[in-house]
Amino acid sequence: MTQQLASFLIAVSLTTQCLIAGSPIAGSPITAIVISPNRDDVLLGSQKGLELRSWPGMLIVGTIDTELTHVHDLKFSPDGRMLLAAGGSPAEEGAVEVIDWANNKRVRSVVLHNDVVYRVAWSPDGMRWVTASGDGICRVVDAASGETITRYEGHSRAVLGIAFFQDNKTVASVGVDQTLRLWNSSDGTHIRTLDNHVGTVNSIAIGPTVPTTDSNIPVTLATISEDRTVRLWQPTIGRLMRFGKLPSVPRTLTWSPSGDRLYVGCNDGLVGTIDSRTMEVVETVDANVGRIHDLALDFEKGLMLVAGEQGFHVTGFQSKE
Amino acid sequence: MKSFAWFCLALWIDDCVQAVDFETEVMPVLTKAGCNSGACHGAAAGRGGFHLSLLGANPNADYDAIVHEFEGRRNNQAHPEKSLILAKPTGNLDHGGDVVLDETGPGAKLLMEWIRSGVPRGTPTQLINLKVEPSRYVGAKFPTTVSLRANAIFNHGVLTDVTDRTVFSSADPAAVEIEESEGNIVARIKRPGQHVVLARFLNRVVPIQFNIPLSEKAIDLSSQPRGNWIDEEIVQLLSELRIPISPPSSSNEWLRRVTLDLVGRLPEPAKVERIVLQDSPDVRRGYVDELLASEAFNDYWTLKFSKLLRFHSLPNDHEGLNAYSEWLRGEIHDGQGLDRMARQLLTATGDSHLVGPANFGRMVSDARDQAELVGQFFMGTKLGCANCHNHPLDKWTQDDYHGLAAVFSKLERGREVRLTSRGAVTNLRTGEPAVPRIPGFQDLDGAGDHRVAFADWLLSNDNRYFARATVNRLWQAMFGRGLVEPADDLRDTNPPTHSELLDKLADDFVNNGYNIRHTLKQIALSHTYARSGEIIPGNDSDDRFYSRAYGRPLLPEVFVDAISDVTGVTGNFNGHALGTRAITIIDPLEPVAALDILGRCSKAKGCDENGVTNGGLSSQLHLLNGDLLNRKLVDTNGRLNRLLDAGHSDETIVREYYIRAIGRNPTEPESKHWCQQIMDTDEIKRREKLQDFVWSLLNSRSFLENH
Repeated sequence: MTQQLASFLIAVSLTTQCLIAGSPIAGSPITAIVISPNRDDVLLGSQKGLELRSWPGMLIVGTIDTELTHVHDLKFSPDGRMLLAAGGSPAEEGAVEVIDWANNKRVRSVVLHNDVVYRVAWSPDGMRWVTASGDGICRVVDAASGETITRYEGHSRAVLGIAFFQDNKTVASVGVDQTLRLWNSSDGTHIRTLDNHVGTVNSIAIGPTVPTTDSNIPVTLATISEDRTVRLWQPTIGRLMRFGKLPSVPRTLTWSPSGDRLYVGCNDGLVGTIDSRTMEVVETVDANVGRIHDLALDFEKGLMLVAGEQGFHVTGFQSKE
Repeated sequence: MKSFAWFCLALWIDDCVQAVDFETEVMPVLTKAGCNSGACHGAAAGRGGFHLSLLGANPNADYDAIVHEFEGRRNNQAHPEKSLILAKPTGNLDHGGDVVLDETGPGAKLLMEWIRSGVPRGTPTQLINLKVEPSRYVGAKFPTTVSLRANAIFNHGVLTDVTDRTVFSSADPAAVEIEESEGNIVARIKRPGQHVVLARFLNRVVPIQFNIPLSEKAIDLSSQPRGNWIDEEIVQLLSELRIPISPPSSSNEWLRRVTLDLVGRLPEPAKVERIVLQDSPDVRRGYVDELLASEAFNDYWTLKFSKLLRFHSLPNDHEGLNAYSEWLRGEIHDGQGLDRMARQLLTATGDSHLVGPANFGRMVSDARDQAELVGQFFMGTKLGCANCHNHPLDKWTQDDYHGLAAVFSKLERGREVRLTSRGAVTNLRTGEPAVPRIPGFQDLDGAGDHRVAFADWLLSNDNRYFARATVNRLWQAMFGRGLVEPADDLRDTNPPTHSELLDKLADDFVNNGYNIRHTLKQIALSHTYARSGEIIPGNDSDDRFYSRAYGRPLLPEVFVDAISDVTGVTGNFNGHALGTRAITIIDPLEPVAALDILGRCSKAKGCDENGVTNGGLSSQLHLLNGDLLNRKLVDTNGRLNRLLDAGHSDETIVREYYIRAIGRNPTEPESKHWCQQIMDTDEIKRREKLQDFVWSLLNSRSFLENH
């Protein structure tokens, strides 16, 4: 049996929305998900807490204690040993909890903002992480101490997405002020503003650095917006490369390892696969979870975990380009 | 087994009863707290990063903003009390709009219950009707209190008491105050007169009219003469409000008034003498017929309609305006019904230099402007608000606005006006091309000329938009104020002072072939129109119930012509033949300094008609010391010099000017006063004094106003 067929069967077995008795969060809006580094577990975050499940079986394994009333992002460190859970209480505080993945214990909880932290991102070297907050501020934090190294205040409104460049220096952030901003993670100095979007920029993802064999795709950055566009940028020279229009507002996006594909979860509950060379939607999958909040793709297993307003959904997808 | 089934059913029913509905329960709480008002989150850009549709016009978008936006930051289903949508308005978290919801009140409890139950959207429910009690209140005394109730009828057919969810707001809080206590709403009326309270629930706004007598003592108006059904309606309300009626105006007063109102001119002295001597209903009827059949009537009403239709010349293209003006004057001259004129305006195409009504669409810049002009002229409504959001005080939605614009979107507006196969307007609500739509009625399917479908609807037998808008304007032209004010703002929430009269006038207008002469004649021959402006005890505060006549300033064009007529010096306007009357100058962009200074509507935007006393300081200075008057007073060929050269006495000259300017002879004391002032043995000084006399007369309110 081929791997793809196996993926298909697993997907069929899980294709209905999972509502498992005893789950603290099943059926409620799930706002953050992450697949563990060894691909054995997934962690789901919502207003009801953090729930650990097996992957891809989605059986409840347990919960992880958190003080976050809203969980907006979950990110593993590059070495897979530490996990960041970001969120907080809206209009009150934004916090990040550092969790040791080996024992699921909270190592540290850092209150950094006056509003929730929507996104966090690790530096590629794992030495720092950076926050994007509803208070319009980004902070660069030393991973070892939890101390703030610098802050960036260039956004005029809430910051919704953030990403570290491979150079471990440059950070890109996006937000409600409709801009994509590049800044220096060492001292918070502003580098460039790119403002082609005409709506809130919901998320950002940096493309893979390894070129594929059949095309030499340069390092790119993708953003999605309330203006229903997906835009590709060459941020280092401040150029909008190309964009595609979607039928529904995109909320979350992920690159394929090769950079040929973008996977975008939208308000209408569909996950669109976009060819990054043409910006055309080549495949859509109905995740059946209402508005999508987060996506996690397992390219090895060819499975996709989609989280949204009405819970989560596991489905197969075309993982080979 | 059977009892188990009943138990399950009971649980299910209980669940249904408990469920809080977003649209019909949660949204009214927010509306009542003012959260979605224009000053708060209902503003175009929202406030504090949170945007709600204005007054809850778009429940889907509001649900999205409250429940979904920013990954559900505004609600917390695990800890409902921590939800922003609850914690901010109750003051548990800093809120720029202060505390607007009592934490222990029913609104906060309902919000809490809704969040606890999982923020359900509920089954979309359509509000069919909102009934308020009372819908009209006639009181006997003041101060007094009136309990208000509101009942909603939804599409599921159940009548629901929504009093506690309805926003009652007084148009004049100094006159009517709204008090709320434990779900009971009371209107406390503090002043006599006619007042309006608006009741708003979901997308409906219903007015409640309060008529409180101005006097505690009843008055008997049964003996008041009635000329026609107009008088019946007017006297009935006056009786209700206990407002006494002023005596009829004199023959001279009526004659000047009706002449100015129907033809925009002062009555000729010979006519004054004749009518005053023979005054009777028949003589008046004959005189009105004479005015309605005159060329002066055609000139005057061509000007009035040209203003409403925003006539103006286009750059390097005067031929279009000429053709348009000629056509309009021809229609009025021929006595064609306004329905025919309306259809031509709405559907005409062709060479605009030859086809007059084809210029209708050229007076505006694009389809949206045309939709607004159509709404204003043909329906008496201001649709402009609905461009950006559903009209907060009317039923017009963004779909209505952009849909009506789409009706005209394929019109090419060059010299050749024609329909094309291309052209669309974007519906700002959807971001998609707007679907052509008859506002408030239905979408228009398929290809073809949607303008025809709109004209068919507008002029159908059961449609009174155009008729009501027109008769209200005719009423305004005759009384100085419309039954609805402003005259182009007809809506349920701006009720007429006399709603049944407006309906009857509209029906009568339609039943008589949309004939403006017929309606004007009905009004002109009513006793209401013939009242004097004399203030008597009890009607001094009346400015809208027609217990007396109200003075109103002359239009700038009429005023300029009147000065020419009185001084005997004809108008001299650049580019026009000597003797051209100002009311025949249709183009507001044509530079005529006197008219602009006097407050002519100079922009092609269909502004309200201003009288000369509304022209501000420049207008007043112009009257006091400007060329318009002074040059004509000293003109060697002017009336004054001619009268002096002919050797007329001071008394004769004074009488001549009184009759020409004010439409009556001077009284004995007036004549005596002026003669004493003017008398001088030095002929030069006498001439100067007479010039001063004429100047005084032409600057008096008696001349400046139609009264």
